[in-house]
Formats: sequence, C-alpha cells, structure tokens
Amino acid sequence: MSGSPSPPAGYPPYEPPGVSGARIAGAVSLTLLYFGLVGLLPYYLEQYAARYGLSAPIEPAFLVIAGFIVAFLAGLSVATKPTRAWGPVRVMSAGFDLIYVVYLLQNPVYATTIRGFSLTITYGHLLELFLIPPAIGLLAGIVTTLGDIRRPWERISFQFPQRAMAPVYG
Amino acid sequence: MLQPKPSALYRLAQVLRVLAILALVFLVLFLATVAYSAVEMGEGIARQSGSLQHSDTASLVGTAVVVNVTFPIRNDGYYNVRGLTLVAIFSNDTIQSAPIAVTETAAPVSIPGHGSSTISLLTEFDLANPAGPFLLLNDANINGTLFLNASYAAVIPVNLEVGFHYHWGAPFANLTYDVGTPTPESNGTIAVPVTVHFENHTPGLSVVGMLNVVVTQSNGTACTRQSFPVHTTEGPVTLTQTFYAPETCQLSGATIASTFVGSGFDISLPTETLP
Repeated sequence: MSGSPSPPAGYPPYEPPGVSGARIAGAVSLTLLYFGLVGLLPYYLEQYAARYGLSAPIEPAFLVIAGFIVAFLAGLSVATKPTRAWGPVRVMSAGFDLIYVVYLLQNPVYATTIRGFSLTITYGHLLELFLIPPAIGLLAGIVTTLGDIRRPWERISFQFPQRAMAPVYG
Repeated sequence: MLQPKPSALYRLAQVLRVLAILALVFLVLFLATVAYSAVEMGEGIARQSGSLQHSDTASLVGTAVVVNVTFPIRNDGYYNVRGLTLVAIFSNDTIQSAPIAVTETAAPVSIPGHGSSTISLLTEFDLANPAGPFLLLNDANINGTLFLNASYAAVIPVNLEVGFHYHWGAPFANLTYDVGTPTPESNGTIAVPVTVHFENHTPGLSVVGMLNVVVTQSNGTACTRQSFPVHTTEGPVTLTQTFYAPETCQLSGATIASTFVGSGFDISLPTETLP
C-alpha cells in the first residue's frame, strides 16, 4: 500500500506486494473463469434452448456484455487487493452485481410454447436470493474501505505479512 | 513477534467477505440442483405420460353427469412440488360458445421429492345448460385447456397451459323411439308397441332409473304414458313396452317425449314427432 503510514508500534512490519505479474495473471484467470460462468455459459444455454424452440428471456448480447463487466470487476478486485483501491473496487463490483440482478428482476418471467404446451416460469423469488451475496459483498466493500481509511496499515499487515513472519495472534 | 488483535472493523469486513462467498456457493449449488432436479422430474413425467394409469368414474347428480378422473403423478426430482392446482376448461364452439364445463382440483396437492401423489379432477357436465340436449344424445370431441399452477423448490412458481381433446360419450346416445302398428283392443283402446333404443357411451356411468314416456297429440292433449325401468352400464339398451291409448287418440303427428328420473337425477330428453 504505497504511501501508507508505517504501522504503529506493536504491529509487525508489512510488505505490500504491489500489483505483481503473478497477481495480474491470477486476476486475468479469475476474469476468464467468471466470464465463462456468468457470461458465456448462460449465452450458450440460451442458444442450446433455442434449438428446441425455447425462446430466450434475456438478449444474448446483453448476457455476454453484462457477464464480461461482472467478470472484469471481479478480476480487478483480485488485482487491487494489496492497494487501498481494493475496498472501493469491491464496492463497485458488488454494486454492479446488485444492479445486474435488479435489472433481471424487472421481468422475471420465462414464457415459452413447446408442442402446444404453454409454459410460464416465474423466477423472481429465485433471483431475489441472488441479491444476498452482492448485498453482503457491498457491505464488506464499504467496511473494508472504512477500515483502510481509519487504519491504513492494518489490513495489509494481516493479509500481507513480511515473508517468514507468520502472524501470531495475541 | 506477537501480533496485536485485529480491530473490530477488520474482523467484520473479513466475516462479511466469507459470508458473501458462502452465500454465493450455496446459491450456485442450489441453482444447479434445482435445474438438475427439474430435468429429472420433467423426464419422469414424460415417461409416465406414455403409460398414464387413470381411472374414470361417472355419476348422475341433479341435472349433471359428474366425471371423476383420478391419476397418480410422480416427482423424480429432489425438491417438493407444493400447491399444485389444476383447472380445466372444456369447450366446443359448435355446441355452445360458453364453456361446457369448468373443473379444478378440490385442494392444492403436494408432491414430495422422489415421491408421488394422486390428483383427482371432478368435472361436472351440467346437462341443463344449452349444450345439454346435444350432450345427452351425441358423442362429441370437446376441446380442453388445462391450467397447472404449482410452486417448485419453494421459490419457483410454475404455470403450465396445455390444450387437450376430451371425448365425450353421451349417456343416451342415438336415442330413438320406434312406434309399431297400433292394434285395436277389445276394451276400446289401441295397443301401441313402443321401442326405445339408446346407447350409454359414458365410461363408468350406470344409468339406473325410470324412463317416463308420454305420447302427446298434435293438439297438446296427452294420449298415453308409460314408464320403462332402466338399469344399464355402458352399451346399447333396447326397451319395448305396449302403450294403451284411447281410440280417439290421433297418433299421426303426435309427439313422443320422455323424462329420465334416476337416483338424484331428473332430466328431460328431447322430443320426437311421430310420422
């Protein structure tokens, strides 16, 4: 955490690792994994369902773009972990996830017709459950940001202790 | 080196981060099992529908034929199906524009995961409505629309609308009266043999009661009346009785009408004019 004041007496020396190549590689990997799960998987599921005449409830292009943003922000969160930007990035990431789920909640009805069967599935309650993780994540981001403001050395000293110095809690 | 205890804010942030991850993992697993379970249930129902065992019983109540269709339904998925209700609307625009019958499950049905339940649909075809005379005497293909509402896995409401065809079997199909040659009797009356023929096409319905037949002259005066005891299940029925009418009775152009009175059932059948 460059520019952070030194920890007060009693705290171990800390070693902010900075945004290293390994961390960026990890962030990119997570971005790709998230993009696959949140962007591409729903897209291909919709394409697969369309072969059987099932209409898509959400525009496929929207799924891919929104999925990419969700994945990018999750990756950015990993990349910025050793910096003070981590809290705000987590707030942004969870905030976007919340907005995305709230947007999907605008029309949580899947209606289709197959072989004369008219099927309607309302998935609003299920989607409402998916508001819980980003809501908690948003709260975690806010608390992390506040913690980083009030005690800028604390999180880093616990999460990135100097090498060969395992923390011993007292 | 002894590290100081983390502040409450730091610990709170850590707890919240762990909670968010746990909630996400739980929801992803829940979603995956819900999807898998729904496929299992759907495939199970598709397999079952090929060999659906259902039992139909019918009874005559008031002016209605009440058909009770009972069938078992299996849930091969993990999650419960709750509050399952079925509503069926029967209609045939060529008979009448309004629905002929509307039926629904008496109470919401629950089907536990990997369990089964029985659905019972009680349909009342009221023969006193405008379609009644037609349905009493004629078989018909009736269009049905079935509306299914249920809650799956506690959080997913499902509505299904299915069109189907229902074959209506008339209880007095092809009702005809055959009037034989009148024969003068020594007591001054005319003996008229009357044969009533009909077929009971309603599955599971026993037609038990009296068929009261009245022959009325064209001027509106009743000539003679006779009752036929009827006791039949499915199939053709032929009943012959001899009517005794006064000599003055003009049978040519007279109308023959009947009323069927059974246990709790009383309905007039269409009239026929004699040649």
